[in-house]
Amino acid sequence: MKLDTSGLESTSPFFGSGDELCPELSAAPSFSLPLSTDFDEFQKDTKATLKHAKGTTTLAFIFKEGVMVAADSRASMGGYISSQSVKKIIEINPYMLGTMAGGAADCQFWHRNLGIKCRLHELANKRRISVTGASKLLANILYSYRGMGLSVGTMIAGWDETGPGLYYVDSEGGRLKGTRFSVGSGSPYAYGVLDSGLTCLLKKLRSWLEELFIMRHSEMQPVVVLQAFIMWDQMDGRSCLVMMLESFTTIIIQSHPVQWSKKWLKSQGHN
Amino acid sequence: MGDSQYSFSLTTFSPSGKLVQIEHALTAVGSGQTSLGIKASNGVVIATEKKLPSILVDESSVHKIQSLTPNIGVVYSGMGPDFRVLVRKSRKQAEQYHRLYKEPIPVTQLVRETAAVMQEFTQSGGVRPFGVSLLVAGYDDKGPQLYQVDPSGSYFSWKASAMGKNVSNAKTFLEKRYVEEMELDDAVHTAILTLKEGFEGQISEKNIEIGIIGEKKEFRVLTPNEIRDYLAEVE
Amino acid sequence: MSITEYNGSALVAMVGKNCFAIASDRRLGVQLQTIATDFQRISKIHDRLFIGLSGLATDSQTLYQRLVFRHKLYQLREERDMKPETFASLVSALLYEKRFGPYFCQPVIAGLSDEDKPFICTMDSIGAKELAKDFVVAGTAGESLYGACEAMFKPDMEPDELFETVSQALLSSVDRDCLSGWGGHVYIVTPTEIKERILKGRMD
Repeated sequence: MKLDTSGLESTSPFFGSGDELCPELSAAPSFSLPLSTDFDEFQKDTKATLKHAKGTTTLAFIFKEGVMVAADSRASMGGYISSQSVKKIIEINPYMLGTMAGGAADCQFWHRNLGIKCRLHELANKRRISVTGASKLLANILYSYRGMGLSVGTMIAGWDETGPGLYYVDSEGGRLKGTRFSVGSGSPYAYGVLDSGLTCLLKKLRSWLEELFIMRHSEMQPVVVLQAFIMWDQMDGRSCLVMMLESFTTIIIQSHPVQWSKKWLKSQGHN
Repeated sequence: MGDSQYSFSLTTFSPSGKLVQIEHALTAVGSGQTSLGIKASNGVVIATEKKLPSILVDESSVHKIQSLTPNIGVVYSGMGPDFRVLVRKSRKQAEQYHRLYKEPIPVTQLVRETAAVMQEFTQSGGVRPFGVSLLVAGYDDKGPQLYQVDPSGSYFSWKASAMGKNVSNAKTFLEKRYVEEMELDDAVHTAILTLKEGFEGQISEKNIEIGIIGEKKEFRVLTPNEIRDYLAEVE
Repeated sequence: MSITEYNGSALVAMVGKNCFAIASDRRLGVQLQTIATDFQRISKIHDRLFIGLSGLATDSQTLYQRLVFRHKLYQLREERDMKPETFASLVSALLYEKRFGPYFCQPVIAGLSDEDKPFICTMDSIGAKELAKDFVVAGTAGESLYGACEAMFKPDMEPDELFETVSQALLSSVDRDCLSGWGGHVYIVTPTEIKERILKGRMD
């Protein structure tokens, strides 16, 4: 079985698909698989020995001003808290973010892999990959590993020529487009808040963002990353949603400058 | 007829409001051998006559004073076999308390439990009251204590008390002799003198028993040798 | 997950100079879900005797009710309060009664004797007593508490310093435990007064 890891290849062809020109050279290195007669049984055993990041809440939603991604920051082993400052939001590149739920290693590796692929796409096509395209790349990779024990539950959120984009992708091969998602053991709670209180939340958020925009309107910042909250799930990291709103300014906000799409700016009434 | 109609079932009151079986039990106590107890400032003494039916009985095998716990002892007047039943029940009660709290049972608690057993035997079917009164001597956190428990299950704390034959004489004697700040040794002397009062025949270390408990909170029955020494002092 | 970890708890008792401290967290959860953030795990038996019951909350409450019942009965019968040692024996006896279907509780008992000597002890769910001269811990944050107390304990602390030490030990320990936390509840008991304080910690 050959696995697609072409993104790992440092000597990837500069133009188009390498496969057409020189298939041998660009043959992607693949992960070695265990020499076992019963792969499924073997996989079951290895899966049990691997520690997966459990107890996570990640969420993302599209709103008027852009796309918001938030995640807790706690890492736990059973009841034990091993870290309170984990970054569960992975920066794939300056205009695209991925969230991490499930196996930490799987998420980190495949998001990095996706980052490479996106950059290669950009170089090959002289234009940035869309969020749609990026999420599909990831989904296709994960699908090729289906049943082999990968554990990934992620949201790909970002900004492209069409505006803000948000996709849910998982290791079972699923890929969904949407305006709000939440992944992880705390997701039911997050959905509760998102589904019922988003309007109220957004009103506060908007007024806050407008303030922020006025403050920094010279370098507009469409993608905002919060290392935050979500109430009630103990495996999670900090605080609760209500607290976040009340103490918004005290929570660490990371933001990344990016070029606004002209189309979107126009639709928003900017010049 | 009179009370005899009501004397079979002890749970039936006579028209005059008496439970005659209890009165009979008290009669049994009253005709029993004299026992007495004195509470001193630093301990308690209990003593009793030990008159045996025949000189052929080995007096060293008869123990009328028993200890219930290391710091509580008891003596009786009345029926010896009934006394043993009560001793067995009381010891068990004391052990159960100790098992639960890992703490020696207070004298009041043990007396109350014992009295409760005696009361139960005045109200249950198919049983008779105990034909004994008890004098319980103990020393705990609350100091030296002396209790008398009667067949009815009633109990009182006494400074000094007597029961059995010659009660009234003995009590009168104690009333005269008792002083509040009496020490244990004096109390033993008084106890012997009181016993001697109504004693038929010559008093000796073989026909009386004495139990004491002092500030060390260890109850013990005096040996015949010790009693002999005390008797000599009293002479 | 073990049934003793179902609700989550953190309990610690520490000895000072003629005083003691007993402290707990305030969380009540159902596994990872937090149900209440003002839960009481420590109860006063009398003015100088406290008990904390870690473990399954329903069993803690039932056991507490039985203990209060037994203590009230004792007070009526013996016209006195129980000594801490006596109470510990009673708890132990009640727990062993359920040897083959235990209460899923690990109690922590702390009290002052009549001579103002502090007494602390803990026991397992079937009543095996563990007496200590310095501190005892229980609950899902037990291991963390051991570490914190081991590092922070000093003999013969005065009440104020004891409060500080117990509070710091508790808060730093529950911050390493998913199943306990949401602040703390601390009692400092001296021969003359009982100080009760609510601690604010990380609320997550």
